[in-house]
Amino acid sequence: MSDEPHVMSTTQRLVYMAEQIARNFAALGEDRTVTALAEHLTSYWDPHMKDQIVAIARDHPDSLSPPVAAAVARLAQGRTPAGPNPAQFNAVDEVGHCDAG
Amino acid sequence: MTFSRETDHGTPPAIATGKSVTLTIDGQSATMPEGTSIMRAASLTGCSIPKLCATDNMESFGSCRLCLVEVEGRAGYPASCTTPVADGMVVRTQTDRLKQLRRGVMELYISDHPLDCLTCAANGDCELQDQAGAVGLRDVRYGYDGATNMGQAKDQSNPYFDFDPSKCIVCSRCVRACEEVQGTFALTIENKGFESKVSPSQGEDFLGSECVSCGACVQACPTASLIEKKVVEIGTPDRAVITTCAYCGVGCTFRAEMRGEELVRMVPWKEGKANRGHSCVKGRFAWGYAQHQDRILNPMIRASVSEPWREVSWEEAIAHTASEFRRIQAKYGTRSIGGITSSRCTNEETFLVQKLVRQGFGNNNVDTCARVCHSPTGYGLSKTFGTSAGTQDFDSVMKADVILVIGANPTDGHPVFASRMKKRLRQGAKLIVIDPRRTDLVQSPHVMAEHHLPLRPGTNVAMLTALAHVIVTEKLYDEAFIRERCDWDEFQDWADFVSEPARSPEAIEPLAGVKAEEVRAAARLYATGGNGAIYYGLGVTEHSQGSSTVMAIANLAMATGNVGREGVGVNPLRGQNNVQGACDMGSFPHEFSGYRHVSDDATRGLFEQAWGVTLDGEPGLRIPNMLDAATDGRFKGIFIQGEDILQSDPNTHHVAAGLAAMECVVVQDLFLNETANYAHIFLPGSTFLEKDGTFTNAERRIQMVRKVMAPLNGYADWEIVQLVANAMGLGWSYDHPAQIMDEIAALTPTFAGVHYDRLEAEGSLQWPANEAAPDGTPTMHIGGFVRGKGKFVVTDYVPTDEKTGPRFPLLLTTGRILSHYNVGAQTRRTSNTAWHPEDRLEIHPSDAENRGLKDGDWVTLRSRAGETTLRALITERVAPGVVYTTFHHPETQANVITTDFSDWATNCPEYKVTAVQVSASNGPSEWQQDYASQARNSRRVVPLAAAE
Repeated sequence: MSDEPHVMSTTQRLVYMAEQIARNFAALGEDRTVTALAEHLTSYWDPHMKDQIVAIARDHPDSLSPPVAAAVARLAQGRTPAGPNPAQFNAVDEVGHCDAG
Repeated sequence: MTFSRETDHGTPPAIATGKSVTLTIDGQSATMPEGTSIMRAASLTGCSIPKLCATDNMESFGSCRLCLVEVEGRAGYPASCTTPVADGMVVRTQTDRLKQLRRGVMELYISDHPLDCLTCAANGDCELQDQAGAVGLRDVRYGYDGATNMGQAKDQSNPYFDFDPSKCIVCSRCVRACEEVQGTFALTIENKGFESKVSPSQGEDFLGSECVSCGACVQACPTASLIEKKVVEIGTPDRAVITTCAYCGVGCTFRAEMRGEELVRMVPWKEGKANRGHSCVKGRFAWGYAQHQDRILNPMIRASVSEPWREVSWEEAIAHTASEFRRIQAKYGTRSIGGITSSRCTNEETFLVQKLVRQGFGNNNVDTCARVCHSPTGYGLSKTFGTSAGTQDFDSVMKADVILVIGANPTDGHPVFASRMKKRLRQGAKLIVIDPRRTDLVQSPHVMAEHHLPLRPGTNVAMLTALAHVIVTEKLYDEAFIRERCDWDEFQDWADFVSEPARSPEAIEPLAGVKAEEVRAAARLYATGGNGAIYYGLGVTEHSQGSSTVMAIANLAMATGNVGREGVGVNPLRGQNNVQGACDMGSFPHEFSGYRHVSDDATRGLFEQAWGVTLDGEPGLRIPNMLDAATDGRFKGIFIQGEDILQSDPNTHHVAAGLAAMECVVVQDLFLNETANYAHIFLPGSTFLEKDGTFTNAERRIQMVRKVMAPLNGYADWEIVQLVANAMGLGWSYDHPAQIMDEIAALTPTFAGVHYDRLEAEGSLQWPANEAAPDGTPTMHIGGFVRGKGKFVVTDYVPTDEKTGPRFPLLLTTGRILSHYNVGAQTRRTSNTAWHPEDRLEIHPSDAENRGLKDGDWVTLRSRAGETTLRALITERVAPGVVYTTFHHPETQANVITTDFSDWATNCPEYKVTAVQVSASNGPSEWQQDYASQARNSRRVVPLAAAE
C-alpha cells in the first residue's frame, strides 16, 4: 500500500469488500469460495449494494477476480434490481409539518 | 423497597462438601452444611451474634473478639466467626460471662473513638454504634484523658470518599476487602499495637496510591472512617431500589440508596449474580453525570447545522421528526432513512427503535454500536456453535484451571469480573495472556501470567492457528469430545490445515514476534491443564480478521473439549452495558430479535402478523454503508438513539462527511454529543436512573433496571420512541416496558419465558429462558451445540492491508482505561477525570528516544486517515514499534487517525491496527482547532422563552 492518503469511492469500497471476503474464504478452494461469497452477499448486503456489485461486474468485469466475478454472477441470477422503492406510508405533511429555525 | 441494610451473616457460605451437621444454638436445633461458621449458623437461625471485624463477603478474621461464644465441653470462649460447627455441638451465644466479656471489648474500642455520634455522617448507619447498643455498653471506665488516636487529619484526596483515621477501629475489613474482594492490595496496616493505622500504599494518600476507588473498603467499613462524600453532604438514605449499572457489560446490580428523589449512593447488591456484591469506580461512584448541568432537557430543532439550536415543545419536535422522515422517504425512497439503536438503552427501548425502523420506516436499515465492537462475535460464534453469545456465566471462572485472556484488558474494561478472575488465579489457576501490551493482568500483586505472548497487532489468527498446530500435531486434542459433539470430517479438514508446517509456531515467529517455544508451552498448558476457559475482548474483534479470530478461538475450545460445562467455554467480554441485549433485540440490519434472518419467511410472517405490515425481506445497511450511501446521496435521514458515532466510529472525516450529507439527523441523547454537531433535531434522553426496563449482560443475563427518580427531560426513552412512532401513524399503545417485554417474549423463542414477574421473582434470567429451559441457561451447549454438531471452520491468516512503511512506521492500537467509559460522555462529566484528565499516547522508551520525545511532551499522531495531537506517556507496557491510546476525550478525537479498514465478515472497524508516525508538536492540529470552533458554534442554543 502506498503511504499516500487513499479515500475509496463507494464503488471501490464494494469491490474491496467483496475481494476481502473472497480472500478470507480462499482456503476453502475456489468452488466453495464462490458459493460462500454468494451466500454472504445475499445474506448481508443491502439490495442497492447488491445491485451496485452486479453492475460493476457487468460494466467493469476486469475489476473483479475470477471467484468474485463468479459469485456475483450467481448473485445476479434471478435478481430484480431494488429500484427506488417509493414510500407507501403516510403522505408527506399528514402528521404535521414544520420548518425548523 | 424501604431502607434496610442487607443481611450480613458474618462469614461466607462454607465450601460445599455435600455433608451437613446438626447442632444446638441457644436451645434451638439447626442443621448446617459442614464447614459453616458458628456465627453464620447462628445468623441463619435468627440469632445475631455481635461482631465488628466479620462480614460475609470476606473470610473470617477473628480479630475483634466481640463474637465470642460458649461451646459446651470446650474450654474458653472461641470466636464464632472462626469456629466451624460440629455435629452435636451445643452453643450458647448470650450468657452473663459473654455479656461481660463483650462489654469489656467494646469499652476498649469506644475509649479510643470520638463520641460525636449525633454529628457523625454515619449516625444511624454505623455498625460500631449498633454493636455498642447490642452489648449494652453504658459506661467507659477508662476516661479519655490518656493517649488516643483521635484528632488525626482526614484524607479527603479521593473525589468520592473520605478517610478519617480518628474513627478507625483497625478491624482490617478495608484491608481485607481490597485484597480478597478487589484484589488490588492497595491498603495495609502500618505500624504495630497502639500505632496501628490503615494506610494506602506506602503512606500515600488514597488518590496517589494504587487504590482503584472500587469502593469495597468503604462498603466494608463498620464505622464512619471510610465514608462516601455524598453521605456526608446529604445524610443517610431512607430507601433503596435494586437496579442495574449502565456502564460495562458485566452488569453489576446495585442498591440505589435514596433520600427522597435524591440519590445518596450506589451500593453493590450482594445478591447480584453478576457482581456478587462488588463494584468498580464507575458504577459505584461515577453517576453524577445524571444531574450534570450539560444535560439537555428540552427538545431542539434547527434547519441547518450552521444555525443555533432552537428549543421547542415536545409536540413540535416529535411532529417535525415524523414529518421530516416522511418527506425524505417520499422524495428519495423507502430505503433512504434508517436508525441506530443504543447499547446503553434498555432491551425494550432497543426493541422499539428497530421496530420503528422495520415497521415504520419500512426497511431494515437499523444497526447498533456492536457494529464497531462485537459484531464478529455474533458472526463467529453463530457459525461455529450456533448462537451469538458467550457460553458461560461469570461464576464459571471459579472452576477454571487455565484462563486464556486474548485481546482483553479486564482490569480496566471489566474490572468487577477481573476481580473474580484474579481471585481464582490467587487460588492457583494458570493464566495465559495474548496481548501486544503488558496489561495489568500479566503481572500484578499475587497474579502473574504463566505465559504472556506479546504478539504484533494484526497477527491474532496466525497466533491462534499456531496454538492449534501444536495441539493437533502433538495430539493434545480431545478426540472423544470431537467425535461425539462436532463434525468429524470438518475437524479433519481443519486439523490438516493447521498441521501444515507453515502454520507452526516456528514459522510465524518472525511474523508475530513471539518466541515459538513460548507459544508451544502456552498451547500445551491450555490443552492439558484441566478446565480451559477463554476470555476475549475487542483486541480480538476489532481487526480485519475479527470474525476469523472468533472462529479460531471456538475451534481451539472445541478441539480441546472445553465447551459445555462449568469452568470452560468461550467468553466474549462485552463492552457496553446492554450491547448483548441490543444484538439480541434485532438491532442488526439482517436479523430480527433472536438472531433470525430477515429473509426467513416464517419468522418475517410472525412479525408481520404481530405488527400488521409487510416487512422487507432484504438486509438493510450497516452503519458504514449508511455513511457511504449518504455521501453518494442515497441515504438522507437517520434516527440515532444514545450513540455518538462521530467520536466512536472510525475515520472521523468520513463519518462527518456522511452526516453532513444528510437532510435530517435526529440525535436522542443526554448531552449534545459530537454527533449532535451534525444534527437537525435533538430529543433529550433519560438516564438509567429515570426509567424501567432490562439490560442483558455478557453472560446473557437479563436484569431489571428500575426507575428511582422522575426523568428530568420528562420522558423515558421508550416513551419518546413511542411518540415518534405514533406521529408516524403506527398506533403503539405501551403503558409500561413490561408490555414491550411481553411482545419480545411472544416473538422471540429464546426469550419466551422472560416476563417481568419472572425477573422480579428470580432476580435475573439467562437466555435461552423458555419452555425447554424455564430457569434460564447459565451454561450453553451442555450435551450438544445449539447448531447440532460443532463446526470447525478453517481460518486462514490474511494479513491486514493496513501496512507500516517509511512514513508510518509504528502501529497504533486503541483501548480504554478503568476510570472512563467508551466516548467518555458520562465519565468525563464526573470526578473520574481526577484519574484520567486527557488521552495520552503510550510509546516505548526506544521509540520516544528516537524521536527526541520526553514524557509529557505534545506529539502529533499521524496516519493515512488524519492527524491529531496529544501528550506522550513513555512506558514499557507497549512493545517497540507499537503505540497505544484511549478514545475517551473529544479534544483528542483518536478516531481521526483510524482508517476505513474493517472485518471482512461484519465491517467491524480495524481499530487495533493503524500505521502511524509520531513526531514532536507544539500544540493542537489545524483540524482540532477547526473542529473545536465548529463544535462551539454548533452548540449554540436559543432558549425556549427567547425562541417564542
